[in-house]
Amino acid sequence: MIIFISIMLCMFPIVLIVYPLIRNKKNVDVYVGNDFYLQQRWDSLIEGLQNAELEFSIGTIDKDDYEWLQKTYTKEVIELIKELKITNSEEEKIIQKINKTINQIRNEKEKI
Amino acid sequence: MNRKKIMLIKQPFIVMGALSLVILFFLTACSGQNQNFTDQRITSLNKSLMCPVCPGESIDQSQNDLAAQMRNVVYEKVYEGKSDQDIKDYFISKYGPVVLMEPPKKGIGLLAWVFPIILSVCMGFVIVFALIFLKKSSNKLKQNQNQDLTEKERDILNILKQDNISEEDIFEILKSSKDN
Amino acid sequence: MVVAIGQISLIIAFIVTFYSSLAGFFSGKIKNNNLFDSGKLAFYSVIPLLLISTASLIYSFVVNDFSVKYVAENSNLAMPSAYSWVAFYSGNSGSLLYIAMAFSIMGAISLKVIASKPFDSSKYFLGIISLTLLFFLFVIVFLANPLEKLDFVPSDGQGINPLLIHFGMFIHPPFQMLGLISVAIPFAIGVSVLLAGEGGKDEWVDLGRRWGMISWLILTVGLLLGSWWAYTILGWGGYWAWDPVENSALMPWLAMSAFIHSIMVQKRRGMFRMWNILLIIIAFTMAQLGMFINRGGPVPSVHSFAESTMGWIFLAIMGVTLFASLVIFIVKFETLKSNETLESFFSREAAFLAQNLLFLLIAFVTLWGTVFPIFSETFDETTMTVGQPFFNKVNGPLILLLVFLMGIGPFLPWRKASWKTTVRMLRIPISIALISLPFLIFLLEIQKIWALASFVILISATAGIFQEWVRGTISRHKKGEKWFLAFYNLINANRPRYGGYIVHLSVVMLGVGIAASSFYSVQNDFVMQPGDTRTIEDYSFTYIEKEETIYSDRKEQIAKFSVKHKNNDLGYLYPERSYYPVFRISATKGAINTSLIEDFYLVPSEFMEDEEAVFRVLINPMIVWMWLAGPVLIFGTIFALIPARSRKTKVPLSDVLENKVLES
Repeated sequence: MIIFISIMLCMFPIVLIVYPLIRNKKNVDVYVGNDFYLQQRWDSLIEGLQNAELEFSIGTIDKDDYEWLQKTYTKEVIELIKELKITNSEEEKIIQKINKTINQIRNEKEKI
Repeated sequence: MNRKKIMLIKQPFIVMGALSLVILFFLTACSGQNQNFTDQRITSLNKSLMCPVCPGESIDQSQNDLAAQMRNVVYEKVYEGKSDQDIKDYFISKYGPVVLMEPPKKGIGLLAWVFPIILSVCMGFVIVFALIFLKKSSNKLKQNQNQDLTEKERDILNILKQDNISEEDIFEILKSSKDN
Repeated sequence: MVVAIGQISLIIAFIVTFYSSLAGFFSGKIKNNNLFDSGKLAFYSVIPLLLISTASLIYSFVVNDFSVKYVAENSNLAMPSAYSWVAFYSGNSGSLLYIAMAFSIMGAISLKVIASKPFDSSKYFLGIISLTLLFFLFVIVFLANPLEKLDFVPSDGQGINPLLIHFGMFIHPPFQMLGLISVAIPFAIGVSVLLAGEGGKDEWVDLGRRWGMISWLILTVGLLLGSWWAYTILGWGGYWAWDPVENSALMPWLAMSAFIHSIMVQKRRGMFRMWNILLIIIAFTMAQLGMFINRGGPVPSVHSFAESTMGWIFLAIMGVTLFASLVIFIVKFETLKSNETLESFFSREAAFLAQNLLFLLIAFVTLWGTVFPIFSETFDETTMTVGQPFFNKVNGPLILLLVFLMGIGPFLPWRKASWKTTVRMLRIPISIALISLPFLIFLLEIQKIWALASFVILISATAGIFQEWVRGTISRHKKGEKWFLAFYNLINANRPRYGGYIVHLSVVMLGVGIAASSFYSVQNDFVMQPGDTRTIEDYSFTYIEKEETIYSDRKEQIAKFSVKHKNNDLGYLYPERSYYPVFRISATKGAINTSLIEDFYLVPSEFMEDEEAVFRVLINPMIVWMWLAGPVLIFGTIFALIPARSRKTKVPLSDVLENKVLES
């Protein structure tokens, strides 16, 4: 009985460990692109703007500081959008490539 | 005009001076109390002596029998008229300096007290040096004495400042600007 | 058979964790996702294995299987059955198993979250948390196996330490132990980011902050529960003894408190990158040092686990971890250089730096006091005790300084504070504090300098917090929101900030309880016979009778008192004292009448042969505020952790804005 249970207990992790190693999934780096980092930067820039807004309304920062911060953040956001545009157009290209490949495979299948 | 300037410059010092005076006034109103009730003395002595067989407990807090005996000894000696130091010395002679809840301020025990002070002073220096080290010249800041925002940039700023940046809002503004 | 299955699970868990460590580091080096997936699944699979081992240990306790050495040492037939579920973590090896099991779960959750983001460092993260778990499993399997069997079966066990038969046993040790090991998670995040060369990207800061705060929260709850337990069970009316084991839990807490603040500086300004890595290394080292002090027994403590011969392995792992982390840091520190500069000494960044160093100063002073007895013994051959009086005198002022910083810090702007702005922000809190001085001195008769300083600082901190809330609400109200909505939106739109203020408020509550009870506790011993009435302050209490019961493992004596306060009848109090002959310990349970102003604390010191008994009464002002601070702190931290709605930049939005931009 103990031996049976022990074998079960061994098999359980072994199966989990071996499965990813033997399946046929190619080791492709999932294309994430810059998008994730850009999203983080976007969030933190917006947060920065909000905080500047809040602190100015409470009185923690002066008017000149407030305006300086607003200018800086806005310009950084604009830079960010330009980068996003580049990323998005790259994504567009890749999606087109994938679509092309899928179509090719489909055509080959139909021929068979 | 000149007088106004002088007043403005002096303002921080005036404020500080006034503050210090106020604080000093109130602090002198505090009487440093010395309640020499015998009971208080006994309790504080009990709190400063350790029960030798209990790990780290004072004879005041320990439930051990030895601790109770020691409390009795302290009680008797206080009523015999012995001073705090006499009583402590008595216990040190029986159990060694380990019986005191804090190291004596002489010999190697003094090191225990002095080291934190040294550490604090060092920490103070570290703070000062770290701040100086971090504060390089802020040329970068001067470069960014940036130009004002264009009108379109202002519009974008206003969009960004909203709590919910909805796409409808943005489309609205674009539409209206495109019509212009 | 149950025990055997438990043993086998442990061994399998050890091997699997060994694999997941290798898989983590290799998959990171060669950037192979399949190996990473395999390693992740391996780590997850350890959870059921450890649950099985834990279950088998608990089962042995529940059925009183004294053939298991650990069960025989830590329970007996007389132990109340509820406690057989928790007795398993009362001793050394069982608590290690608890830690391994709890860490495997927490580690898996953090792994799932972290691996869902596209960081290269997640692979190394797996490696580091696997190594952490591996160490514990190694100790459990080879050095301190809780499922080890005895050659003979005793008819009864030795029993659990009677002081642990208290409700607190269900909650304090699990939180405390989990808190200590949970520091490994932000540590692993930091070091894995270094290894992956991502130190320059600040996007991982969100993860570091989040898991740092979670770890800090668990540690704080553990400490608060421990204090509450000490206060209600141990009968000396206190809650913190600066005992070595308490100190060893406090030190990582101090380092983590520093970390959760300085990580904010990195998030806002991209500064302190190197410092944050060093700080988290220090925090984890202190946590490991804490484990050594708990189990190694270099310094005697009321808390020490009984057997302590294998403690040195914890010191060794601490040394190895510290050395390895520092090597990695030195090799990779170029990636941590930041372009940001400190613009002014008079800024929030500078205040944070001072605060961080102050936290560490307190931690190192505490460490010094804790190890000084060893130091004096080695160099002078005299043992000295470093107890409460030392720590109170040395750490007290430093803690007060810290609270002072907490009060003014939030009002210093980032980058540069002008004198004008600072005065504008601080004049109301400071004025309120000054106005309160005459009330404190003359009305409440607070005339001890340190007490006065404490209360003034606490008042100004509170005033500062409320000032910002009021000003923020007013400014939103001016933009058209109704009052209540304005306040709600203010808080909700800035959860990290306002959650932080709520936590600071809870610190104020803690401070009030600590200051009031430290400076103004009154204590007296009374010799009484049944029928006697005594008075202390405004209380009068009557000793009615004593009830004595003999159980199989103890003699229990419960006294019945009727207590009145200023002619209000407070009912009956039942302080008790039990003597355990096997352990030669007397355990007392104080009877407490709590109010918001003070606690009336009654505990029997001694029952004499005749009818006489000695009772100790303590009046502890405002202690309950410490316990009330707990839920406030938990709420504030969780509130600060709720993620902000991410403003998604979907393609349409970026296109739209981009059109505007390209037009210009």
